[in-house]
Amino acid sequence: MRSPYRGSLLTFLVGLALLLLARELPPDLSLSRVQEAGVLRVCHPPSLPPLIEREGRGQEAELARRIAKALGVEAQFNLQAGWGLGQDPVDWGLRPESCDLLVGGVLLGRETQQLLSPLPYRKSQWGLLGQGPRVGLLAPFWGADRLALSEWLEAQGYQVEYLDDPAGAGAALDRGEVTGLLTLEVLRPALPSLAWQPAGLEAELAVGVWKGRTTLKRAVSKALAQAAQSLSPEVPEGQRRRESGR
Amino acid sequence: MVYFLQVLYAVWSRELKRSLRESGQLMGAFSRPLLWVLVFGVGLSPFFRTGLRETSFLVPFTYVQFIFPAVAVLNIMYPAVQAAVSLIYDREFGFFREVLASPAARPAVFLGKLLGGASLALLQGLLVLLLAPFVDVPMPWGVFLACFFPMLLIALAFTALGLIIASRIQSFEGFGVFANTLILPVYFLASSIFPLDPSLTVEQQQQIFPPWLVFLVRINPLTYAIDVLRGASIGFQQFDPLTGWLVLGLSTLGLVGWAYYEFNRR
Repeated sequence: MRSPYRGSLLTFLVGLALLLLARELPPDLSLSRVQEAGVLRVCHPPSLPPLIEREGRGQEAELARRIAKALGVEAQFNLQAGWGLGQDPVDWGLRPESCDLLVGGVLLGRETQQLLSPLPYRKSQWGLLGQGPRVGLLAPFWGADRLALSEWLEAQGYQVEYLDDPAGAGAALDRGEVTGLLTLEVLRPALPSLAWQPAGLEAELAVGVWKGRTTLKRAVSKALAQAAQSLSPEVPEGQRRRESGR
Repeated sequence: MVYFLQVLYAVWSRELKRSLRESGQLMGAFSRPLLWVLVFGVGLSPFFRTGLRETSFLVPFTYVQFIFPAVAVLNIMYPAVQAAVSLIYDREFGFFREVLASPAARPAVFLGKLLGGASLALLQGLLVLLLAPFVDVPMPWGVFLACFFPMLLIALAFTALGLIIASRIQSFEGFGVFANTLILPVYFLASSIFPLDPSLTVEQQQQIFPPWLVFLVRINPLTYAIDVLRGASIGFQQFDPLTGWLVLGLSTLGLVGWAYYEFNRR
């Protein structure tokens, strides 16, 4: 005798197969566009040594090259003159049409998650280079919570000065305008050698892909997991795997 | 107590068996998410946000991610309300006369019907979560469980709503028309396919959207139910989470109570 559930079972199996097939469909063309063009357009701020410098130099430029290589394309560096000019990223003039990947001091955080899919690759500590009482806040990072950092400095009883770039911050230290700097440890190689005191605050450096470019994000995330291994031994493997799985 | 549970189980499994024999309902369970997520969501995603300069709303999700929880709710709403059609069927063919003349406790029969419909609706809602990788929404167990409970409440609320409609409407045709007339406006007025900007006050929202639309969206309990599910799945809520849970919990309780009253009246 024919089972009364036969029709439903068939419908269920066909429907389930369709849903599972749909999961595998590419939701957009972002990766195929990059691969067709043969270049990964990497947008970055004018200068943030040692992370990024002009003409595609710096640690994150190297990371971007490795990501591009993993995608089978060349990295093309696209300096964004307005990046970092002003507090509101909306005024920086970044255009999705000109950037596939954004690097250069992008931090994982609420602000960057509004527009980008930030893919973290390395942790870094905020810390005090030098000492008080006049401390410069050097946080030229997209996504840094400057308010929280300046509040932290004030809570320590320091007088806060705001600084925009490592070169200017080094000069301010030399001139004695500030006696210390609160910044991320990754910037230390570009700053004078002074005593370092961790502030107990952590940040995650990331590379950014515009939100909604899912296929490109997946490919960059996968490439990043391989490329970041050699760049940041301090990121736990489990965490990296978790992030690349997103 | 054992007899109560036996009756509950019998009615619950009857509801499940009857629905599972109808392949048409299952087709809808699969076609709705496929159409809404793949066609509607992917099709409209490029227009939702174009870039930094053109962006009006900076939000931490894509369009297809925004509508994803709402599609899960839609997949719950239809079978939940539809499940109540069995009440008319049972009334029409005399099954209920026999059940209600038996020593079976009415609350057990009611609960069996309610849980039967809600179980089917919940299962169909959970099917949508299979598309989570497609829309780039991570779905570890914690997120899955956080989604499960609001979905369960939504399934109970809409099954109860279906039972209320079925108690008051005499014919199959009338039920179908009434159910569709109710489901679609309630769904579209629940901030399911467009967000009200959460950073704006009601007055500011009324400068972007017509005041009548803002008013209807804000008084719709389903708005808050979808918002709770959105919070659980993509980590974004337009309204206060506590308000969302309160509205969802109280609406479910109110509808279940009302459905029981209507069921008991007959």
